[in-house]
Amino acid sequence: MAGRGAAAKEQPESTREGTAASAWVSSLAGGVAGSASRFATNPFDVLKIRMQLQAEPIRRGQAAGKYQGVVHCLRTIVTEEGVQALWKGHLASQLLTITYCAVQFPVYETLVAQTRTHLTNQALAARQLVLLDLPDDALIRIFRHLSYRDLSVLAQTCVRFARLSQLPSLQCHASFNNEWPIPRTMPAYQRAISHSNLHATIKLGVARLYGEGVDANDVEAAHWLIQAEAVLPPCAPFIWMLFRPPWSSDSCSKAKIYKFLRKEVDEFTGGEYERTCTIGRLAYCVGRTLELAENPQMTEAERYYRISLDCHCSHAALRLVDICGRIDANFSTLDRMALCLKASSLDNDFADLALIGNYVNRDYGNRTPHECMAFSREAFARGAAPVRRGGLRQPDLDREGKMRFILMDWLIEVADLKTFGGETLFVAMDLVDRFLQHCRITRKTLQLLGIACMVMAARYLEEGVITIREAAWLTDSMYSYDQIVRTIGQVLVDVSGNVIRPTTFHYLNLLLQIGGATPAVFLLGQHMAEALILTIPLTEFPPAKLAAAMACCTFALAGVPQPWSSTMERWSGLELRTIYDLAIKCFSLFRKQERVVDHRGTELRAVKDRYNRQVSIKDVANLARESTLSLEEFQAMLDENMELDRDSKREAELTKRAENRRLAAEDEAQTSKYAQLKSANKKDKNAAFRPKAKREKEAALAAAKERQKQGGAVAEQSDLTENLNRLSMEGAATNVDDALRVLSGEASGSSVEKMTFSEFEAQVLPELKVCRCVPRKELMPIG
Amino acid sequence: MTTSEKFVKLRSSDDKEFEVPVKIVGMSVTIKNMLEDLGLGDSDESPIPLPNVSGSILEKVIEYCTEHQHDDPQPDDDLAHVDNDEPEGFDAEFVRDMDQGTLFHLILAANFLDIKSLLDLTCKHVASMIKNKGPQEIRDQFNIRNDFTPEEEERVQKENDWTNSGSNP
Repeated sequence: MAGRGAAAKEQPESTREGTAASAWVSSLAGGVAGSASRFATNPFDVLKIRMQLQAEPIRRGQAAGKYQGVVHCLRTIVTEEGVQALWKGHLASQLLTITYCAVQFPVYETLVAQTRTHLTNQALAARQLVLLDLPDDALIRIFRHLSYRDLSVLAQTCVRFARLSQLPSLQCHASFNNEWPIPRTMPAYQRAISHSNLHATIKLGVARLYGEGVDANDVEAAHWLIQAEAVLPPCAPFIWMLFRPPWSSDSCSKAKIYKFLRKEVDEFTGGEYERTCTIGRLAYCVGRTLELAENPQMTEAERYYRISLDCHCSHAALRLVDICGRIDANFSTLDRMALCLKASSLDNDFADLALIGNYVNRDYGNRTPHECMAFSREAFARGAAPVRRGGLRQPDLDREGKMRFILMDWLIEVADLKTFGGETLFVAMDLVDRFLQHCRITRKTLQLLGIACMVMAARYLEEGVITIREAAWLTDSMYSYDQIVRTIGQVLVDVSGNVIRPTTFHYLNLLLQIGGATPAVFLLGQHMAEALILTIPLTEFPPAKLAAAMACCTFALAGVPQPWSSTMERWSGLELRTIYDLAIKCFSLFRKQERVVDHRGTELRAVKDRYNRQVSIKDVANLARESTLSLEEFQAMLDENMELDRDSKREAELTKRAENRRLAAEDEAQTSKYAQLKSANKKDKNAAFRPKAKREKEAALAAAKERQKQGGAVAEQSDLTENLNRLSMEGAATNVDDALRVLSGEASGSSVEKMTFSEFEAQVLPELKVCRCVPRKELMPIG
Repeated sequence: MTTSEKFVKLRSSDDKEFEVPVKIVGMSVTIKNMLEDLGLGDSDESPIPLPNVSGSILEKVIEYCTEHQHDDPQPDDDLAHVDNDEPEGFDAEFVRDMDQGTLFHLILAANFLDIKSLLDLTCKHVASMIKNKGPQEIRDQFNIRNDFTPEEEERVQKENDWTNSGSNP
């Protein structure tokens, strides 16, 4: 019978098709196994039968049986009849066993196969599945959500978890939230750092730099910060903002760290790819420091940026654009675009935005207008990709967002006080919102978070900084120096060093430029953006989408008849219907702007004050206030706009061929222009360029007059305005008057437009050009 | 059944059959690929066998997918940044009173069917059960036997000694 179990185990998992075939196999196997076992056991059968059949004494005195026990019986049979006698009747019993087993096995197998799945599932369901039953990959997925502390506790429970918790993928990403390096926790930090844990590296670096929690140590601080830069995911280098000037003296710890870094870069002679990238990032940091030093050393900075760019750091290209524009008189648009293109090819989002700024100005570089628009649409699509919404609930902050409103209002006040620009404000707010998405915060520490983010944004973007002591003072000394340092470390860790990313602010400026906004409208747009982000968290919507909605509202308020023009749609690739709801929401929020008061009953009005205080932009505030556009009218406007889009699309269908021909011609002109520019040396470049531009301008003007005669639709008017806008930017001022004349004939009675143009010419043009290539540069002079 | 909506049949390991709209089933990358690769689901009546998902678990999975069928695809989160936000609304209800056995079965099913959001939800929930506890508490909660030798235990405890100090935010 032993053979049966073995045969059952060998039996493969039977499937429906396999049952018939395997029945024969198991039948045969059963027969053979049965035969073998019969052969082996037959002697015992003979013994049993002999002993059963002999006459046994049932009363005293009767004769005893022939066999007196098993051993005696065996011996007797062998001596009397020979060994073969033990197999007497073997053939018949073999027949019995073989047929018996040949039937039994297949029947058994089939029954088992049919009930097995059922039984095992029942068994599994009946038995409680426990954590240890899960396979390793599932466990790792669970443990990924644990902090380093929880992971270390888990390692003490059992052998398997101790092994799993040591896996590099877990060690590398486990967070150190709510932990700060102190002597007792140092071993954990060191272990995590040995697995390239970014959180541990940044926190230990910051701790060593400021001597917070552990002793200050320049060498170690520099070491950890460099290491942090090395393991950072691809984003802008950030450690320079921790040790950048202003310094108290040239021998302070920040200066020492800088020197350490510089030495590291200078001594680098070449190495493998990853090391080269790290050096590129470090060189960028050195460049930034040189640029911000008390006596800025621009040429030196440029040298380090060049090194950095050679080592694949795309952000250096943007800095080069900025400083070369200032120190190099021969630095041309083409040079600038070449640098941006290089950065863009390294996946730098800011470079993309800068390039689009150029393209909108008809500086197409070596691309055709077609390609440029496609490029722009791609960049906007990235900015409009859905964002992870929701995030952590903040039970201690109220749901209506009043606490956030109060914080933002205060931050705007701080920015105003320190004369920081809109970009700094937006970056700080973006940091706050990102942090709130991931980490729990209490009402008491919200302001701490706000000031820490503002300190970081200012260190990143502004010449002047908020020192940490000053920051503590700004909060009425509610928070200590230590708390602010720790919060900065925590925020840096939370955003993984990615301090700055394109925000709504950057996209909005670009969209306003695409829409041909006047300086007044630019300011109106910024005013609107700042008023709106008091209530709309920046992480709630994709930045490009929110910016598009804001731009739409801005143009509507400025009295532009078609707030979302076809040009804007073409460049951004965003259709009006996709931003319709958001635009309505923005508009109603902006119109409402209800009075929000804090606990003392004082109205919070930092945004209003910021825009009312400044004489130069008073017009803007007036513009917004005087515009009586109601929500219903705005909605009607958008509906009409959509209708127009549909009409124009139908028309476009008809004029598509003509359009294509025109674009092809433009492409060709562009190519030849580029070739010309390339061949000409720098001095001749402008000379070669000017007549060409003049000719183009005249042609465009003629075309404009032609269209005017035909009596164009509203859409055409705005298109014309944009065309003229671009024309006036492109060349010398001589032709602008012509352009203006045509415009005033075309858009008669629109006082806004008239005012805009002259102002545009006078104020913004030079500034705009700088802004376009360096998104960092603030458009609006404050204070 | 509307003509515009297609259905597929799924068969669980205990031979229960479920008829589910393609849109809902499509949340499972495994099944979606299967349908695309094999061209099933058009007029094919034969159900898709899911040999390692039992009927009661499959029911839960379908309940979850039905609730989330209209969700926008979430952007892929990089490994570096595991978000630790808490589930809300339906999700919170869904896992709140679930016994451990069902929860682990769901993890296995979500892993096999490749439904990322469900896998995240369940894994996050288990992780939240581990958080902020001591070793013995974890052992008690999950029925884990301490299988360290005394020497090993001493070494591991010494290594992670720092966890005994309170956190210092």
